[in-house]
Formats: sequence, structure tokens, C-alpha cells
Amino acid sequence: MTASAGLAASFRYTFGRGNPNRRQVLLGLPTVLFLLFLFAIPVARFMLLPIADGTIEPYVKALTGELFLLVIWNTFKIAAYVTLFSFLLGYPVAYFLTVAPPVWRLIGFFCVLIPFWTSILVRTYAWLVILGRRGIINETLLSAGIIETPLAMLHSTPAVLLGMVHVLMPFFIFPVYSVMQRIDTNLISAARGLGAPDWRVFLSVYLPLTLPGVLSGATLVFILSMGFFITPALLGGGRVTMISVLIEQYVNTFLDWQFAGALSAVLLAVTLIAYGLMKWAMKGDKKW
Amino acid sequence: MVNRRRRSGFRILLAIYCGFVFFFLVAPLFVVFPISFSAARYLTFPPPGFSWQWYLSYINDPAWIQATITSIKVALGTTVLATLLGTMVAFSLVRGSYPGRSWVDRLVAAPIIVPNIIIAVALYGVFARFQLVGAWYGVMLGHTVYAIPFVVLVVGAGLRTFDQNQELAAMGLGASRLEAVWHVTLPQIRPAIISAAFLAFITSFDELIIALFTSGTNATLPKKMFENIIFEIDPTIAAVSVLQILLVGIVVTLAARFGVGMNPIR
Amino acid sequence: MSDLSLKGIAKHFGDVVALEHVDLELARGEFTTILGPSGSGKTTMLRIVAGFEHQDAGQVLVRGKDVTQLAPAKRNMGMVFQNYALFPHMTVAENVAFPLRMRRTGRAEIRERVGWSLDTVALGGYEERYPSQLSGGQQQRVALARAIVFDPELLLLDEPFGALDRKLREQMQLEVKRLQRRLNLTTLFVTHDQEEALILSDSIAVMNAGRIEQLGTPRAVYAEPASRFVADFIGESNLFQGRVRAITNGLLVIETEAGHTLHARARDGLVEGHSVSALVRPERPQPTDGGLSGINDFEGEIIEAVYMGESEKYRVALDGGLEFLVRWPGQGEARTRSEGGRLAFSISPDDLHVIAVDGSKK
Repeated sequence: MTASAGLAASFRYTFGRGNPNRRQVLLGLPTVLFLLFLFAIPVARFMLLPIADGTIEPYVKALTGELFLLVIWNTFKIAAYVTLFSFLLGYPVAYFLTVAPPVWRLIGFFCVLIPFWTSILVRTYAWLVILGRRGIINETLLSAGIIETPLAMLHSTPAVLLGMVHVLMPFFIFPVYSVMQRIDTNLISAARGLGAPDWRVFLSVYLPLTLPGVLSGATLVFILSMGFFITPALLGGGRVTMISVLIEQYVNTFLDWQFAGALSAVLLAVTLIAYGLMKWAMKGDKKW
Repeated sequence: MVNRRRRSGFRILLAIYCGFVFFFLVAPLFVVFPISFSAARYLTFPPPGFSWQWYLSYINDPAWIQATITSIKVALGTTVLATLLGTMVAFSLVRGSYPGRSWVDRLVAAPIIVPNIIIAVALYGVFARFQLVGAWYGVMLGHTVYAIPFVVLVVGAGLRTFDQNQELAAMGLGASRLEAVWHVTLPQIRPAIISAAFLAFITSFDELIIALFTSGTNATLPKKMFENIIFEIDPTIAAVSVLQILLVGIVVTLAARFGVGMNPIR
Repeated sequence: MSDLSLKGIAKHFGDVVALEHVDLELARGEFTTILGPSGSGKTTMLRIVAGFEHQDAGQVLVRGKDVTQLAPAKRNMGMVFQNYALFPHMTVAENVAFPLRMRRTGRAEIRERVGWSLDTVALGGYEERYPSQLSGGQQQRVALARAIVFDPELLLLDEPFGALDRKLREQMQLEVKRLQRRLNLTTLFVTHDQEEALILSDSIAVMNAGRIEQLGTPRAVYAEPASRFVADFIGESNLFQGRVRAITNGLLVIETEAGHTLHARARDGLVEGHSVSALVRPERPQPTDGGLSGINDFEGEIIEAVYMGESEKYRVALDGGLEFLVRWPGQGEARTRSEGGRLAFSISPDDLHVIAVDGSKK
């Protein structure tokens, strides 16, 4: 009774003429309702489906079943590898884009941006053409006589990794580049002037300074990898199973929505934890 | 002296390393182009000769054309709806200071963080109940959910650099609130809104997962491509890919011309 | 009838009182300045007059008409903002035409009014430029032209000179003043710069903590501040704290906390025993060079001497332990005093302004 009266009062305040922010509230309302009904509520309902029957059994199954743990672990491993390779390949590129002369910088940007704006499907298709049984690599090696039977490169974890790194690396490069660009080059000169050898300058000055960019880039890549679907589905060919592929199977093949919901809850939890950790690390970073 | 030589050695090494990475990034695209003009009946590389056959097979296949039309319809609808909803909520978030604003902020950003597959399946469940599966506007609603955060990001950034005193000035000089927004605010954040609209268009046009679940028999272009890749690798896809790259290229160029630029680095 | 009158305006934001019961009247053609430190409520007041903010209590009347319920657009006031708020996507002419377009003025008349307005601020020929192509002073002229083009009933200026460098600022101040005179514009001006307020205003309202502490001519506000706050805020001042010990021959005899005895011209309402502050402006004391005048004589050691061109400023440690500031017109080399030297001066009773300390008024 009193709770509902309080709710009514705060409702009246929020939307009433007394609120100086009434216009802003009303302006945001359609979008909020849209996202509530077409996003938040459907997602919540989907993940809470198992509970609707008064059981938590699907969650338990998702977290204890050996097969599922394996898939979750596999997904995590792939996401970690993709993040690592994005760092190893993307960090020098971001640095190159910061220091390269204008012409090279422009060429570099084109090489990063054109694939970025190209549909993931198109790119994945290209990898199929390159790595396939009768693809470019196999045909070349066969005709050169280096191998006699085609190599089976597709439908393997390395193929999936290759495709995912290709798609996700730009997401690592952008934030790192924007941080590198803002670094005061005087700091680097100062460190050199103080007699530090180049590798020390890099490890103790440059890398820490770029850490915020590395963190947000890595988190972005990791989160996107965890939920990735297209590349594992096509390049993994059913042999490399990630959570999202499993969710799709449980919905479309086994029609087991409850278990799909439980798996989704696990996937979302891991994603949110990664995101939360990044936010927390960034907050600690701002202290100095 | 020694130091300088070592440094230029490092630069050469860096350039070579990055050259490999750049090659890795663009190589797939250079495979798609030649194959789309292949004269062979099946997939071989390098192509034995030049031919338009795969482009003709795309144009002459009603299923491909239908998928293209559906995709364009969905993308245009998404562009209008997401730009409208996103711009409104961006205004609300940048200018408002009401209780719960941070929650609105989170809600609006969430579709980027929540994996697409979860959004797709959840919407599939809802749409199945209301018999919206297979309707182009169902896919459009799903894509709008996904595109709103991008719009808010771009428009919000534009709005934050706008001096709100100008709106007050306009009102003080005789404009109603609506006139002030129309004549003073919107013209100044127009580049951001245009960029956001193009971004929404591309987001929708390229999106596969939500469409995979909710478009039913009325497939969008990415879904049709996905199915084709799974069932047969036929160079028609290469032709479609080239066309898609061209379309996105045109859109990005237009956006760079009229918007604040589609270079996400800036 | 006043062009603008504020009656009992009050405004609070949450628990913070921004304005408490402010009254103010502006006659036709009068230039009134609201002067105060940041947080004194002066900006809130201007925003209430303009209609951007709504008062909790009180009325805003323009030429006798209550405009409290009117939207800013309907109030017919021309406003110049702190950073001018020119519309960067419009040319100078479009900027100036904006208020007329919003009033659905005819094309021909718009052209004529814009031409007149730009001529008035000496910017004829700049019609097709964009604000970003103009200097700071020119931008300000555009803002001014835009504020007067529709013949407003009131001109509101919100710290418009803050962004200009010193020389340009002084030039623009005089220009604004001339323009205001010529067009007989009733003007409300908000600033925290006391010098600016003294130069421009017909009357000054000094604000502090949401109240008007004093309303008067620049001369009155400077020479006869009504409170310690006003004395401190405007100009440089020496303030003695003390108590009225006696009144003799029309002179107040004040004993200061530092042990000095002061004689000041008697004022109504002050009697024996009142705590008072006695104000002396730095340019008022007269050098005595050894010879005593017999009344309000002081002597001390110069602890800081600053040469400022047109004047010289000395910080003096008075015998008895009080610091005193003296500023005299620049003298020849021979008369210049240096740090460490002695300085003697006297203050005429007429140059001492006595302020009753809160709590013992009347």
C-alpha cells in the first residue's frame, strides 16, 4: 500500500511538471520502452526460461555436464587466443600508424578500414576459398609438387582462430591507436634522455601509458570472441564448437529452449564478468 | 650514432612486420574479386578466364534479388527508426540529469555487449509468439535494437560538443523551443546524425545472426549468402560479395563526404 | 513607469538559496549593473529576467506588464551571452536576421533592419562572413547587432567582455556605452568585474549571497559602501574595526581594536558603543612629512613599494601592528619612497567612511 503510494509519487514526480528534467525524461521514454520490450525483457525471459518450470536443473547441467564444460572452456580458450593474437599483430600496427610518414599511414589505414567495413560473411567466404580442399593454398602446393594430397586446413581450431583474428583485430587497433596518438612524445624523449635503453623505455614508459587502450581493446575483442558465431560455424564446420554455436543447435536442432537459455546465461555471465573486470581495472588506472 | 642505426633497423623491422599484417588483412578481399570474374564452372584459383557469368547468375536468380530487396528494405527501415530513437535518447542522456539516467545509459549500451546470438534467439522467441517471424519489419525491429547504441554513440558525441547556450540564445531572440532546436541545434549536429544513419544502414545490411533466426523464409542477403556457403561454394557468392563491398564502399564514402567521417579512429 | 521592475524575486535550487526577495527598478534608458562574485545569484537573476529560469516567488514586470508566465521568446529582450552564442552555421547577416525571421518579419524589412543594425555596430560589409572568420571584438559586435535588431524593450548583457583582452575590452565597453546612450536602451548588465561596473553603469546593484547589498550610483557604491562586503568587493580598501567611544563636535571618536583613535564625520544612527568598521580608500591619506595635523595621524614602516606608472602603491606596517595600503599619484624620482623607509600621513575625517557592523544598526 505505502510502497505503491511511494511508487505513484515518484512516478508523478518523474513525469510531472515539477520535474525540471521532464522534457528529457519524455524524450528518452520511447527508446527506453522500445529496448525494454524488444531487448531487455525478451533476453531476461529467455535466460530465465528454466526457472519458469521451477527447476534450476538446466543451469546445473550447463555448468557440470562434461561436454558443456568442455565447450565453455574451449570457447574461453579460443577467445583468449584471439585476444592474444590481436595484441601481437595489432599493437605494432597501431604503433606503425602513429609514427609512419603520412603516405604510409594512409595506406595502413586503408588496409585496416577496408576489411573492417566489409561484411564478415564475405571475409569468411574468402578464407574458405583460400584454405579449402581445392582452395588456393592446396592448389598451389599441389601444382608445385610439394604435397600430393590436399591438406585439411578447414574445420580446425587454427582456421577458426585465423578467421576470427582477421575480423576482430581492427577492434583492438582502434582504441590502442587513439591512446598512442595522445601520448606526449616528450615523455619518451625524456626517458631516453635519462639514459634508459630503448627496451626499458618501452617496457616501463610506453607500454604502461598505452595500457588503457590495450585494456579496452582486449576486452572488446574478448567479449566479441566469446559470443562469436559466424566464423566458428563456417570455418569450424561443426568440429570446433563454441557456446554460441551450441546455443544455435539447441534452439534449432534439439528445440530445447530451456537449455539454450541456461547456456546463454553462462555466456552472458562470462561476458559481463570480463566487462566488469575491464571497468574495474580502468578505474584503478585513473588514480594516478 | 650506433643508437640511431639500431633505431632505423627497428623501423625497417616494424615496417616489414606491419606489411605482413596488412597483407593478411587485405588478402582475402583480393581473392574474392578475381573469383567473381572466373570463367570456370567451379571454384578454382587462379581463374582460367574472364567472364560475367556469376554476376548474370546473381541478377537472373529471383531468390538473390528478393533477398537483396528484403535487405535494403530492412536496412532503410532500421536507418530511420534507429536514427530517430537513438537521437532522441542521446538528447535525453546528454542533457538530462534525472534519477535512473545511468540505468538508461546502461540499457542503451547493452545491445553491444550482450552477444548477438542471445539477442537473436530471445527475439526469435518473442516473434514466434506474435507470428512476426519471416516479416521484414520483424527483422527491422531486431536490427534497430542492435543499431541504437551506435547511433547514440555518434550523435551523443556530436551533441556533447554543442554549446547549449546557443539554444537559449535562439529562444531569447524569439524562437520557440522547437524552432531553436530546428534552426540552431539540428543543423550543427547534422554531420553526426548523417554518420549515425549510415552506420545504422551498414550495421543492418551486414547483420546475419538476428536475420538468421527472425527472417524465416523471407531471407535477407547475408542469410542467403550464409545458406549458400553452407550448402555449396559457388562463385555467385563472390559476385554478390563484390557488389556488397562496392555498396558499403559507396555508403562509407558518402558518409565521409556528408557526415563526420566513418573512420572509427577519430 | 519603470521599464523593468523586479518585485520580491526568490529562487532556490534544492536547499541552496540562490535569490532571496530581490527588488529592482530600471527606468527608461538606464544602464544598471548587477555586480557580485560568482555564486552571488547575479546570473540566476538575469536568467529569471530572460525567462530561462522560473522564480519561486515574486514578479517580473516589463513596462508594467507581468511577464512571469511568458516564454523567453515572448519577452522581447535582446541578450548578449558570455561567449556571444553566435550561430556558427549562419553568416553574420543570417545571425542578425534570426530574431526577425522568428518574428515572421517581411523580407524587405529584414534586409533594411539588418543593414541598419550592422551599420550601428560598424560592421557594414561583413554580411556574408561566418562568425569563425571574425575577430573576438567583431563577434561581439555581431552579438550586439543581433540583440538590438528587433528593437527590444530591454537589453541584457551577461559578462560580455570577459573573453576580450584588456585593450579591446576597454574599447568595446565605451562603444557599448555610447550605443546604449544613443539608442536610449534600458540595459541590465551582469558582471563580476567592479572596474567595468564603475565605468559603464548609471547605477550598480551589488549582490552577495542572493541579496542586493547596495543599490546606488557608482560614486555612492565606491565612496559610501553600505556594508563591509561592498567596501571590500569594490576597489581597494583599508578597514579598521572598532567601537564608537564618543561623539564630540560632530565627530565620531572611534577606538580601533589595534589601539588607534580615529575621528570621523558623524553619521545618523550611530551612537556611543556601536561596533563599526571605518573605511579609508588608499588614495585618500595625505602625506604629512613630519609635521602633524593633530588629527588621524599615522606613521609606519614601508614593507612594500610598487611603482605602477601613473601611481605608486605602498604597504605600510603602522606602529601598533596594523597593515595599511596607500596609493598616491606617481611622483618624480626625488619624492619616491623606498622599502624600509618611514611614512607619515593623516586622514581627513571626511575621508573616513564609517559602516555600522551587522547587529548594531539603528
